[in-house]
Amino acid sequence: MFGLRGYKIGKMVFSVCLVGMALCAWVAFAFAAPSGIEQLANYKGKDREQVLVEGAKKEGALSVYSATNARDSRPVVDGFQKKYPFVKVNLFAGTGESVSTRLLMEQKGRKYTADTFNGILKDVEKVRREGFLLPFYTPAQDIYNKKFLDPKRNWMPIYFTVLTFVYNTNEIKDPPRTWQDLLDPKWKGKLAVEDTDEVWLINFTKMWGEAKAKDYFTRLGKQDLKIVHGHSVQQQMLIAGEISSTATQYLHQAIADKKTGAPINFVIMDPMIAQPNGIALMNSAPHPHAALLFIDYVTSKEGQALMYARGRNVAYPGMEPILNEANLLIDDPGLSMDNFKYWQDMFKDLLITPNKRR
Amino acid sequence: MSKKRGYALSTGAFLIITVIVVMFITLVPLLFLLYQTVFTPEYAGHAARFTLKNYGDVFSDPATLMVLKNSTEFAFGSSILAIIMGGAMAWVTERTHTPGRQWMYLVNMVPLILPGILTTMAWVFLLSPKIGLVNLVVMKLFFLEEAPFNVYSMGGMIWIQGLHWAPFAFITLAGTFRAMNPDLEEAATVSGAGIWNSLRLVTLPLNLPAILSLFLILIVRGLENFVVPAVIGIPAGIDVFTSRIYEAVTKSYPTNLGLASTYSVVLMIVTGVGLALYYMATKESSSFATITGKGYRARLMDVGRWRYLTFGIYVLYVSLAILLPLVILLWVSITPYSMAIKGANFKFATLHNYREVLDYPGVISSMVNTLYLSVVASLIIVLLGIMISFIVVKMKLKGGRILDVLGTMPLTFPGTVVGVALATLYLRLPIGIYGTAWILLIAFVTRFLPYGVRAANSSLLQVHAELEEAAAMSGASVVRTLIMITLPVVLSSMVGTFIYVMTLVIREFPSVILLYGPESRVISVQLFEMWEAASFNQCSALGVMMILFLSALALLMRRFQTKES
Repeated sequence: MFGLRGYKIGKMVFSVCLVGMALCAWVAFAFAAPSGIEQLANYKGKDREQVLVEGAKKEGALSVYSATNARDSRPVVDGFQKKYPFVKVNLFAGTGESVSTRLLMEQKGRKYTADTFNGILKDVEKVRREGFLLPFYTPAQDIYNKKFLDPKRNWMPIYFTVLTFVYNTNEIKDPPRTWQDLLDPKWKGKLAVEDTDEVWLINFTKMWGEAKAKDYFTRLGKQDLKIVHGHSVQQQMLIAGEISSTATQYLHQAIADKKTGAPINFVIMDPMIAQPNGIALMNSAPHPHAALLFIDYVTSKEGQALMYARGRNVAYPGMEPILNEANLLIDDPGLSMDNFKYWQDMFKDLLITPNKRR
Repeated sequence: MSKKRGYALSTGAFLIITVIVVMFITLVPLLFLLYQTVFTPEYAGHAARFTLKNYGDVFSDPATLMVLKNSTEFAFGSSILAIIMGGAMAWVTERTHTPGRQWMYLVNMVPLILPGILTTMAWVFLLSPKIGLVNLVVMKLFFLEEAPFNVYSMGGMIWIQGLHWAPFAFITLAGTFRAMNPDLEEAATVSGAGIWNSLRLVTLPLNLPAILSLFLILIVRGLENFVVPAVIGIPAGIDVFTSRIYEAVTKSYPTNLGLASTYSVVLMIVTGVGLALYYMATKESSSFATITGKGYRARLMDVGRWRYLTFGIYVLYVSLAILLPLVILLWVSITPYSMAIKGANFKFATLHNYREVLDYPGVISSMVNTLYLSVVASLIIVLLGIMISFIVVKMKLKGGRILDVLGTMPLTFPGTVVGVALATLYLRLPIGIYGTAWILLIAFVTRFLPYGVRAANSSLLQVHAELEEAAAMSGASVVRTLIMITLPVVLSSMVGTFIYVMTLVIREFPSVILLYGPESRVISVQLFEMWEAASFNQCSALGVMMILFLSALALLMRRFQTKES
């Protein structure tokens, strides 16, 4: 039809390929070296705030990359902007890995827009290893519990995601008091496990040593566990009574849902695993003064109070009454991320596979 | 003479534009994906190096065989269920005098717009042996000791996935059924074949291209679905392919996109085989042509008393696939936390969740962004699909199938890979679309082009060549034929594809999350964040709002349509 046999799509495809390759070759890499902001990052003088404010006024903007959802990130940014109205904050908030993935893609593509980044430590560590972070000083480092701090000062904790025992109050009448209690036969069939909470196994091994931890989880694995995927799903299942209890649910979610009247409660276990959400300074920050001013603010009493009001388990000493007395086991993902497969397999072998119902 | 040259020029321009756009859209992620499968990730001073480990891992993993069985069972089961349910509804709606059928399109939009996680959770609340509403009611009614249904099973997974995709099957098949010349069915009925026989011997074979296209898409979607396997499969101990991909991508350091990409190469092979079968089955393109030069009026079949039966099926489908989960979501959206549906709990009813949704930063602007993007992307996809299929089906150019295959392959690209590929490219290309709505548009067109291509391909097969031949004979150029003849004829069946692609865009998440900018947030990102913040109730409120919004839009369009005609 149409007498168009002359047009050969194959040939066309080939030539477009050639043009495309030539285009790719043309794409050049622009070089931009991060400037020397080390001195500023470590400045401890009495006029610190003044210096930062002066500098931030000139910079006039700030770009915050936050792996904390927009709803919880926004109030702190608004508070900051109210206090320092001359800085226009550009908040890029998201959840999970996506923010750090983007940040890394941008930095590697030499698009240096980010000033600060906050996220779970595994993501912070990924960015650090690529050499994009700058260690810094912030006044809160003198006040916070030393065990919450990074000795190398690459990040500052702004809140913790704490994993603990959460249960449905209609289903469970006498919650456990210790981790050993969970091995009691009466827990058979009543306990759920989130299938990606390897952090539990990793930190207990660190605390107890391999032999004791392995023994504990082997015995726990025989408790007829229910396997669940995702903490949000797990939380809904707990509230609905589909599962009775779990050893690894987020404390802040449990607190928030308990407040709405949902039939759930939590136990402050000894210890509880705490995964810090840390804020870090980019070494390519285009607005270093504003960035440090923001870090100072987020970790200050004022900024932390805003985070606390959003229901987060904050790091500021004494602000979170529930955590005052708690024994927190601070998770350091830097130690386990290189051989994560090892932990993943062990977690699966001990807890997941023995409980497959098929 | 010069006129002829003009035709050739316009034809050439049309061809070149289509080829360039298709290659531009599909080859970037494809090459990136293939690169990922044979190179180690570049991280922290480790340069990328060549490896075949990913392929080794995929093919030598003894667990692969085991999950292959589960994945196949899940994909085939849910596809067949979706086609049977959606197909039956499409036939009832388009070919019979069943009362209430005009509402079918609107009603089918509801599950389409809902994110999989919400409907899946709703089904847990309905069919769980412990708390499932349906189980509790049936147990009470029939004095049963044990729950009759268990959602935590392969059957449960197939049920949820099949119902979730039935509206897609409905929309696709309704389009082709409507375009079908009723004479053929009538001829069968007149010659004494019953309704069943005319269905089996005429309707089904004639619509084979559409059904095969549908089947191919559904199988691939079933193989790559993760929501149902995560929420239902993992507690039930049923592992599928995607659980492995999930592990590889999210937990390992450095992030192992390579393994995910390798699995998608496997999916590509499956798709390739599917396409080959499709080409074989549709080789005699004229045998599917139901739209000919002869005029006909779309008439409905009078099914007589059978319409009570079809009405029954209709009601059953609507209540099972749409109303049941919707009631759960509505209930969840007005309660502070998940609680049983009973009179005593009505005192808890509140609009708090809706207020929270509206207070969420940026929710309104992301709804507007989503609307714009989904309309533009769907329009491009439908047009591009027709252009590609016109070259393949009508012009029958040598090598035209390359375009068809290229246009179909993105079906198997994982969203994350598309996201990373586009971000990597546009961060380096100095044209400044990174972080803007443009890059999202490109991502959407890439991800969902296959739906446009497959639908257009099967639609065009139904248009008899005599129509275009007549146009060509009267001296119309190729482009003119396409615009004046082909486009109007297939448009009615492409409306469904347009609507469907819109809902896909609205729900798309994995590629978007890596590409959106502060000014181009979309609703799926919003929903994911809310879901992570563990408020099923607020997510349901957002879901209900999305349904209301879309229904209003659909009603408006309907009014507009009736006015026009």
